[in-house]
Amino acid sequence: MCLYILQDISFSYNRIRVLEGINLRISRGEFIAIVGPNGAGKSTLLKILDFLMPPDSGSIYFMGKKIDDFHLKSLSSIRKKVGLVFQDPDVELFSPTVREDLAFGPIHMGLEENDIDERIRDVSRILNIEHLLDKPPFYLSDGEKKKAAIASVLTMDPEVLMVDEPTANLDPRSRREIVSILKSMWKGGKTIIISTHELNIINDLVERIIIMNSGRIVKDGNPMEILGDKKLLEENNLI
Amino acid sequence: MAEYLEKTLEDLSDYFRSVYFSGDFSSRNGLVQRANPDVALIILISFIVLAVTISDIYFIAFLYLISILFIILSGIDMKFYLRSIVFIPLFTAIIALPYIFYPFSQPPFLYSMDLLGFRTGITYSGLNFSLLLFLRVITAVSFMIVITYGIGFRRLLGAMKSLGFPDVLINMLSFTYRYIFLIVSQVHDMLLSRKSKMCHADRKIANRWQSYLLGHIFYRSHFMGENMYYCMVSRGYDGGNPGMKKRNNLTYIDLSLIMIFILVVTTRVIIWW
Repeated sequence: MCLYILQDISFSYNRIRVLEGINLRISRGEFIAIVGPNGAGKSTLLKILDFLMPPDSGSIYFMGKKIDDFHLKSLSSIRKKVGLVFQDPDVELFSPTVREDLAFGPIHMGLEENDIDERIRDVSRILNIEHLLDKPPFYLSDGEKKKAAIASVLTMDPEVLMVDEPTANLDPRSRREIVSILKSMWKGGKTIIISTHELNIINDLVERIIIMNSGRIVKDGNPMEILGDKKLLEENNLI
Repeated sequence: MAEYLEKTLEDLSDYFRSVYFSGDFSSRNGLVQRANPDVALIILISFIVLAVTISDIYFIAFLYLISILFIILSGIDMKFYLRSIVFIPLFTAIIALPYIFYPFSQPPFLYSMDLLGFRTGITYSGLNFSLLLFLRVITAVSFMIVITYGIGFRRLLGAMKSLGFPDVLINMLSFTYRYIFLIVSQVHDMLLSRKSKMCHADRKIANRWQSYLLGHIFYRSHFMGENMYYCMVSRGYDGGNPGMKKRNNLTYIDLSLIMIFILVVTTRVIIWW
């Protein structure tokens, strides 16, 4: 089933064109990496896919329905299905304790306290962050912050999990842990979309790669096809 | 000037860090923590209202002792309390100090003297007014500490929500609370980075750098505010403040809080009669 259809999407920030003519179809259960150099528009595309910003032009369809009302209240049912982990965990973790950050999404989904506690318990066990729950986020290491940020979205149990630069600034061990978490989420049936410019982590991880540069999709294909094309990677500052 | 700015930001950073750690106190098993947050908020605000509306010094001193009792019973560390409160009475004392003396307050004098042919001195009314102001401030602040550290910020926002405080006020408080620590710690990091690059102190360079810093703070705060807002929206925030759904039945702790308040008011009424 097709989750997203993006037709000729364009977006500008302060009159600077960030996305231009984006056409994209994403199916349920895919594991996609959006790769590209810094400033390619990857993070902006993820925000558009999370319906945080309306595009300047073009159409977005989600689960067969055209999304043209971007008011907060109108999107509340879609928010439960889509989760985005931002690049900077410091802006993602804004509560006094990790536990409260993990509860933020479920509270806004209107869940009962018992259900929220259960979700926090389950997600923190899966991500192995039970010992961090009562700590203030600013005392965590970068790897722990990233895991807590992912957990804060996973407590909403979204169908689509998007992670912006999942392994940025992480040591090798934390990197391996995050990759393994993403893999297990995908195997659990979620649609995963990550943005990155680190090709070494996506080689064995994803089943589809989208290369972006200067706000445009340059190439969309399978990892073998794309990672084998050295010229394409060089042209797009990826190696 | 640069050192002053640096020191102020460091102190601010420490302060907000301690405020964040208020979660430690609010999770303890003390009197206010075990009470229904709605009841605790109403009772504690009522004590503050009493302290700022009644002009009886002895009664306000009595209220101050009650606030200390709440602090002890809530497990709030006394050292932490004193550190949080130390500057407030000091500044109040500075503000109130001139009123002790004639001509800022009116005779009769408690103590008078001739100063260059002008009769001045400490007056009863001035002393009374200054003491009243000082006690009111320290009592109100002590109760505020019990509210923020005893109830805890999240439960406090929930109580404000259930007591019908406007959403816009609750949102402003929660945004500020979430956001201010991040920006202060970022500014602190920027100061440290500057320190690591400073080989010698040049006043002109330092002043120019401060204007860069202020400009950058505005830019960073806008950028972070926008991203944090997106994070919240992404996780279901729609402008409302749902709070955690929880049954808040009255317990014997809530009843004892109400009883303490009634006893205090009754004592005051009996004395007044």
